Amino acid sequence: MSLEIKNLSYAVDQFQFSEINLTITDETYFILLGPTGSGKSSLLKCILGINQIKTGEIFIDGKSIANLTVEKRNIGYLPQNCALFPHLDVQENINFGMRIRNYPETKIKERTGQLLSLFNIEHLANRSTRNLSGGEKQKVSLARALATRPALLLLDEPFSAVDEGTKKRLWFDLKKVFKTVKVPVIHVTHNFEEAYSMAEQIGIMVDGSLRQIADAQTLFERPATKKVAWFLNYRNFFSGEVKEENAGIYTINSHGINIVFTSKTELSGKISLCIRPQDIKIINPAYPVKAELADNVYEGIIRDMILYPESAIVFVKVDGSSSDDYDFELKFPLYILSRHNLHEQKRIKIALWQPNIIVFKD
Amino acid sequence: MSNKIFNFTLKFMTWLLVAILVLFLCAIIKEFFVSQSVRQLNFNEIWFAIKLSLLTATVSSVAAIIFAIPIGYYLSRYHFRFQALVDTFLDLPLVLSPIALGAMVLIFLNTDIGHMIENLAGGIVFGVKGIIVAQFFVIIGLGIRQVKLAFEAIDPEFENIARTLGCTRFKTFQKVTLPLANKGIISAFLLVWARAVGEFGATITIAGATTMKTETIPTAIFLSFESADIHGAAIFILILVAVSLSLLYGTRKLAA
Repeated sequence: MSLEIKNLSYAVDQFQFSEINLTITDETYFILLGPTGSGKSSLLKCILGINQIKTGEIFIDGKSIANLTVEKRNIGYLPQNCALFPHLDVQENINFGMRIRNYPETKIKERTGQLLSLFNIEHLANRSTRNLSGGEKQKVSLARALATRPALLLLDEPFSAVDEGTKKRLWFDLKKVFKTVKVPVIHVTHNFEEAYSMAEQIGIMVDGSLRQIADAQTLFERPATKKVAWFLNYRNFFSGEVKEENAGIYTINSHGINIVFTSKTELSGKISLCIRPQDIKIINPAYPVKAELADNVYEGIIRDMILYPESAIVFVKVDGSSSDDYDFELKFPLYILSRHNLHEQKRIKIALWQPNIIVFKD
Repeated sequence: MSNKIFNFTLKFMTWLLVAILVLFLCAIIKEFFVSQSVRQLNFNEIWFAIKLSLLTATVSSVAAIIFAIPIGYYLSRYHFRFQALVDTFLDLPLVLSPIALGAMVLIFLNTDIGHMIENLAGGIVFGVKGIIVAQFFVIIGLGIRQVKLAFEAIDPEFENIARTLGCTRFKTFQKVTLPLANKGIISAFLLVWARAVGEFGATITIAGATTMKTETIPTAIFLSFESADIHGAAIFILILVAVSLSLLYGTRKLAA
């Protein structure tokens, strides 16, 4: 099964998106990642037929569905709040679609049984949907969406109503389920961890545009544009005129900080660099500096620190820079703090992991 | 204002109004026991007024809800040109004085189209059908508002889901929207019914006030007062209060 979207555009009130092109083949688990209000849910509703598209084409298995009504598209949908019908029990919710499509009674029983067992919710069959937990609701809602064997499954922030503890367990459970049911999935989220751990492919949607489509590792290591990098929470952006020092080795000087980097493509004019917080290392003077770090070593002072349960963010102002506040944002596991005895106003030496410096042509 | 004074003000205002209404009720009950009937009020006349009120209110309320369901759904789910204008216009029966509304219907029935309708339906003016028409136009605005609210309270995602599962728009309405809105619709029905039972202004304008013909409970109260029969009026008022209170309480229970 496959989905192909060509030049899709949509507009409502002040919001619009255009030129959306997307192809999902076979049983790909595709995550549509983007900030709130970027148009992810609107795109899902365009595919479903709930939102009327302005122009463009949508194909499922090569057949155009753009002119079909919602009920004829055969696309499964799971909205943010699961939307289980409160006037029906769990079993009735799951077989709702099959009854509407006049499946024979034996087939309905068989399929409902299969789905209850697939999601491990047989014990909930006769329960009212009002008394289910967030995770249970989500499983029932997914079973309902899969009951009529849709050609495509669309999930809109499916874990938003699930508590943090259950969420990660569900990611693994559902990944297994989707491997069994073999249906292409588009899953909308703004949660990076969720996207990274579940996706086979990720599309980044910002301001109504699909900015980049790639596998999780490529996307998180090499964001294609500054907007994508900014959305991925990467800071440490530097802009300046590029100078070629040697073949493939370039430098820029941005507010008094000289950064050396390599590029396989030829660069000229103004460019921007992004260094991910986790790619800035603290240098221990007792040990030799690794070759990948040696070109960009800076001394400075810790301006501020933010501590999280598992990590720390440290803001460093480099000696000789002209910025008012801080120059680099570093992120590392919490134990690094005690290893280097880090605290505010401490002078430290940091270095950039050169192979991971991301270059954007302005 | 301190918290104590604020809390006291809230309680005082609420209980003051309750006390005033209870005093009204007590006055009527006292009048019922103390005053003498000046005209012969027989059981048949009381029973006729009750029956006529319940019958006309039920018919007009059913008709109003039958209209209110599609209109309320349309206004709550669809967006169209001049929607605000249409919405405002449909509120007109809600804000217009019932006498004005009744007069408008009466004047309309005196036009050529009106004559045609009168001939087809037969006996609207000064007849029982006139009471139903009067009640219908007085309650339809309230009915639409209430039903629209019931539909608006339903998350549209339920309908989206139903459509992705194979329902046409009508099937979605029938299988999902109506069952989910049923409490709101029943409560809308009870409210318009209670309003119809108490309707007087439009009724007397269109159907007149003829004893044992177009005599609903409110009309009977009017006729009793007109003949200075306070005892008779008290009987009908107490009946009306009993019907209204039990309905309002029922509606509240249903909504909860």
